[in-house]
Amino acid sequence: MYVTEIFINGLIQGSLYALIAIGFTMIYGILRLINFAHGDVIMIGAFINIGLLKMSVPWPIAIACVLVLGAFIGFVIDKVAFYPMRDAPQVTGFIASLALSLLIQNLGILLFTAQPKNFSLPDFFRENIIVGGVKVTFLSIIIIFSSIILLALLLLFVHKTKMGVAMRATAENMRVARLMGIKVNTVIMVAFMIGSALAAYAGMLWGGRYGQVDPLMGFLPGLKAFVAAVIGGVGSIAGAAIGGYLLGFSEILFVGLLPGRMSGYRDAFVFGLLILILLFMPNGILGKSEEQRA
Amino acid sequence: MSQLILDVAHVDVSIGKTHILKNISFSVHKGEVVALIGANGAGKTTTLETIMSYNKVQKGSITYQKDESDTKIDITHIPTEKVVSHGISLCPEGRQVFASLSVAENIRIGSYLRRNRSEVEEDLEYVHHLFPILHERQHQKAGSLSGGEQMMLAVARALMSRPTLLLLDEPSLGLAPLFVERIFSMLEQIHKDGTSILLVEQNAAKALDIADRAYVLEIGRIAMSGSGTQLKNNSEVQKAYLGVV
Repeated sequence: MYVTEIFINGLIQGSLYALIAIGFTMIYGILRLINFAHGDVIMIGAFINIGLLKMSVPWPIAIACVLVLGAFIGFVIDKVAFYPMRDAPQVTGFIASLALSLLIQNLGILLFTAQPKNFSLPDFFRENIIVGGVKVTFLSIIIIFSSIILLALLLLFVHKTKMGVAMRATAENMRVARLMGIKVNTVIMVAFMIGSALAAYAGMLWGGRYGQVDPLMGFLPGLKAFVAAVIGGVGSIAGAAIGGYLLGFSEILFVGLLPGRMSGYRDAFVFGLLILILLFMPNGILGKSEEQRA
Repeated sequence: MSQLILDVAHVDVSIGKTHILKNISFSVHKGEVVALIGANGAGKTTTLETIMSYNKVQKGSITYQKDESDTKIDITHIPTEKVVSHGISLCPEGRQVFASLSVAENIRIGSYLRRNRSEVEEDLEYVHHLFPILHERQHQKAGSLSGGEQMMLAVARALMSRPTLLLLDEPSLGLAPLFVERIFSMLEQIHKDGTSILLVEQNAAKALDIADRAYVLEIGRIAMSGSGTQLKNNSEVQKAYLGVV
């Protein structure tokens, strides 16, 4: 029973990291840009959902709205912050993303104050279902399955659609992708939209799981998801998912297995493990070395 | 002479502070194979990339006319994907296939801009007929192919946009002599099937063999031009590019 519980919690935590890590990895894969503002989309997604539920929008529609608005935010972020500096050196984009992150966070504080807000999903999300002798909330089931469905859809998209293949081609060689007639700016825009939609959705789930949200809530999950993307092999979508689940599982496992007084050092143990992985696989689990890419 | 497809007129290109192309003029007519030969750093690749709108043209113009019934268009300052959509395709230096994509995906992506599916299927059959090995290896990752096979794949990919004018940048580079022979006979076949070709080569002997006309590029200027045979028999060309003492 205890094992099942750990397994389910690991799945939940991993799903959230995986959803967020996808956005990092897609953007890095194409632009070699570490987009620090990505974590803040989590927060935006959570606050959008609060607004929607206040307007008593039914929850399936609210989920759809969060995905669509999340995509729209990705579109705006690309157009406002990154598109104008497409030809600038990578470090410029990185600094822009830091600035954007601060801007979004402070705008959030200005609008909603820094006080954590209650995030209450409709009651039946909290109802328990018994799985393998363990009580699991309906929300947990939703987190686990919707994440798997979204990840599967995304993999189908990048392997089976024209735009998806164009995206992989652009990630591998942007110059040659243009020779195929691919509008790389459109591809980049789509990558931002997909990544942000998933992050906003993860934000909504995150809020639901922890019950409260605040304007700075995106920072830590964003950072950890970035680490998950690196572990999985940055640039690889399947890698980001694997990294996310690995990170989620190891967090839960360390809390579950360490003696109580050590569990405060959870992150130290988790990151120690990740450093070990990177020592043996410097490009991450599914990553390719830059030489191989060329 | 037949209809003019590509007309490069007095083009100047600088990249950064380096003035690379200086008052370059040349043309390609329908049904021709035109070769640009020259040493390393003469500006051959830059010329092709300028046609594809990779580089900003400071002076001069590049015009293109797909067919006699089509209007002439100025392609000097239009984006790369527009150049491709008008019917010019570049097979880049060093092949540059998408290594992480399958062979089939690489071929398909060449037809990215095309809407007419039955035409795309026709062309797919055509490139499979030209390069049967690619059909056999369609599920393999392109990165796992040999250099020669990757070259074939790069040509096949470039053909999938059904170009009127195919630009090739050093197709023989780094290939075993046997493959060089095969690639050049493929090019002759492609040319026979109706595609005009602008070929950049360091292997001047091979290039002049198949070229109707050729231009010699020297440090960013057109130094000489003439028919393939004329240049082949020119003593300066022989000394500088054909290794005849």
